[in-house]
Amino acid sequence: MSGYLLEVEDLSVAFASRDGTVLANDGVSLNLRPGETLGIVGESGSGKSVLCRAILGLAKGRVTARRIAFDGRNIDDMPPAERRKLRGSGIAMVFQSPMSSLDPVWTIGDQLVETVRLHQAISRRQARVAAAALLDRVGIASSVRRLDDYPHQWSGGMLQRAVIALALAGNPRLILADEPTTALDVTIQDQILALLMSLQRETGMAMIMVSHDLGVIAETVDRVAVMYAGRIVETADVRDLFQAPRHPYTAGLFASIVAGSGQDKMLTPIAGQPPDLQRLPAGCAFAPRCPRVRAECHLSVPRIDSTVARANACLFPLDDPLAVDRRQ
Amino acid sequence: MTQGMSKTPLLMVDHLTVEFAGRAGWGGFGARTRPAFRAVDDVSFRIDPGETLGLVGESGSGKTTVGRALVSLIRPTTGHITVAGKDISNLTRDDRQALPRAVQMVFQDPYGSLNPRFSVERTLAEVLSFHKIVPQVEIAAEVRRLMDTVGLPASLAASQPRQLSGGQRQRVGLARALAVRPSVLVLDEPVAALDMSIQAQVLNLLRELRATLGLTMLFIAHELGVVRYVSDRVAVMYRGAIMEIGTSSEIFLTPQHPYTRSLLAAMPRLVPEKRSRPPVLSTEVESGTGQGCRFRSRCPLAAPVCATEPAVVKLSSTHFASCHFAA
Repeated sequence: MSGYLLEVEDLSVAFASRDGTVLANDGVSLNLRPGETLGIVGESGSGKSVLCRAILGLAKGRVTARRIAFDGRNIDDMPPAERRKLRGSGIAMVFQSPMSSLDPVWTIGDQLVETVRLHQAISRRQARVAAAALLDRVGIASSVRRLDDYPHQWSGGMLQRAVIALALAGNPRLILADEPTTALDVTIQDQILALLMSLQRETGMAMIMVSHDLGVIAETVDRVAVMYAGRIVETADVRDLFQAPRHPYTAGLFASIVAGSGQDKMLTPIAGQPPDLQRLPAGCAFAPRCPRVRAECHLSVPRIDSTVARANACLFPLDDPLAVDRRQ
Repeated sequence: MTQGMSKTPLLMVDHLTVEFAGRAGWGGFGARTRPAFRAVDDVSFRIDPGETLGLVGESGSGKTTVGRALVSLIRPTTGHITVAGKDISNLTRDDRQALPRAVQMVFQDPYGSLNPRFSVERTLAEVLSFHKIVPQVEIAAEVRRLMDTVGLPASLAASQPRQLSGGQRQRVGLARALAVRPSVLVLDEPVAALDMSIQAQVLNLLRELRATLGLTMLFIAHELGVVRYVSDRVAVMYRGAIMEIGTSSEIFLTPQHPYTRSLLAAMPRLVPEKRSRPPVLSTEVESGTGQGCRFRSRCPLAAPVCATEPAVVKLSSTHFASCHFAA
């Protein structure tokens, strides 16, 4: 046994377009241990949402992978019924917009009851009790009364709590949270992050936290994978990554965010425009924007070693100041 | 909130209140109208020439409504907006067309605010010729100059919005607003839709333009870090009213209003450490219109005295807070 809860090896997701094939994910590999939280950072079009959907078997494009395994079992080998069961009771997903997971014409209670009964063979009456208990767990006050509310009666923060309750219904061992707080105000984001973290402590479930916000990543994850143009370009323990990013793209991200430093420090944006997946350069996709680019970078796509804890897909990564110390 | 009169302000907002009429219920017969909703409630501030005021707040705070009132997209219910000494709050349609230069707006989503069939060149040329900013023969040169000002390469002149990236479209939006040489630029969440690496490009451009063109700006955003980066002063709004206003360092380093403090504390820090702290505020925004301080139902300091409307407390010549406990 590998000891991993989730193993993804060499995953690619291809979409057909007028100008040929577009690779939304290109050779993505990652592992996740039980209870661990992996952060996936990237900008729009980097492939982070497609990756989540592909893990759940919901990606629209053509998915190929050497292996996608959950709890040691290859998902591709599972019969469809078992795969369906895996969604929800093994892996659950929380999306950015709560309304993409909720049906506006059903009450919150109806939707919870239906989901609970998908996972457990119990009566409607018992499922209603379970549904109220789920709302309690996600911090909705007077949960029994609120079961009969419709989604439009709830605020965005409450709806995201309801979606988390739906995700918890099958007691999942892994939650995929795709920008779960991006649409929320900062004080509500604060509440939802606190909720997710306390649920994780309570249940020991693993989590993949997808976010463009390095602050959210810093507060919630153990390890980080940075994506660019459909590929993972750097992976590291979150502390190591924040202390010394090695891939020039990661370093560029840190230099372009407004930290608490205020006005004194000028931001150093990454030059140029985000990559067009239909027209990726032959070599490193970041090369056209990279301050460290050399001729070799244009020759072939640098690959990342997914078997080590700290790795990057760069021929000329930034030096780690600590590495020098260690050598001495 | 009145402030020290050091300079002549370029923009004055004076007791601005904006109410939206309650919508009629379904079915005309016997339909009742709901009470009017007060989106902006007695808001006053000023912006000096060359100054940038940041306006922060969560959704429903009224910050966008203030911005839209400044560009006459919404008519104030009461109160006055004065630009360079001229009251623009109750202009007729004709007056407004004669006064294109007063205040210009840059919107969050450049895609929604640009004509999809117009090239960059045509978008800018239309504005220049409609408002007769330069003589017809100089329009092409002026378009080039504007594109250069906002960092758009001349090679993009013939491109349509869909051929541009988000950052490039926002530059077009900015160039179009600058084309009429406005006194005041209102920017409503100008970088919220952009990727991080592109946000930094646009924020740096705004700082550059402020320095080189002496732009006067109202910068509306929900993201505090972004507001701090570009603003000289910052106003914090909550449910239609200004809770606290001060210089950037007063607001970010020595905030006095409990709402401002909560906002700052709720911001994720860039310190890689798994959070175990409880949320800063445990409740959500209430929609009711009670008496007294509008933040009191969520406020960690709430006390019986908060049932009365707090007065504006002057903390320095530039720093004001609406709280019984500010001192």
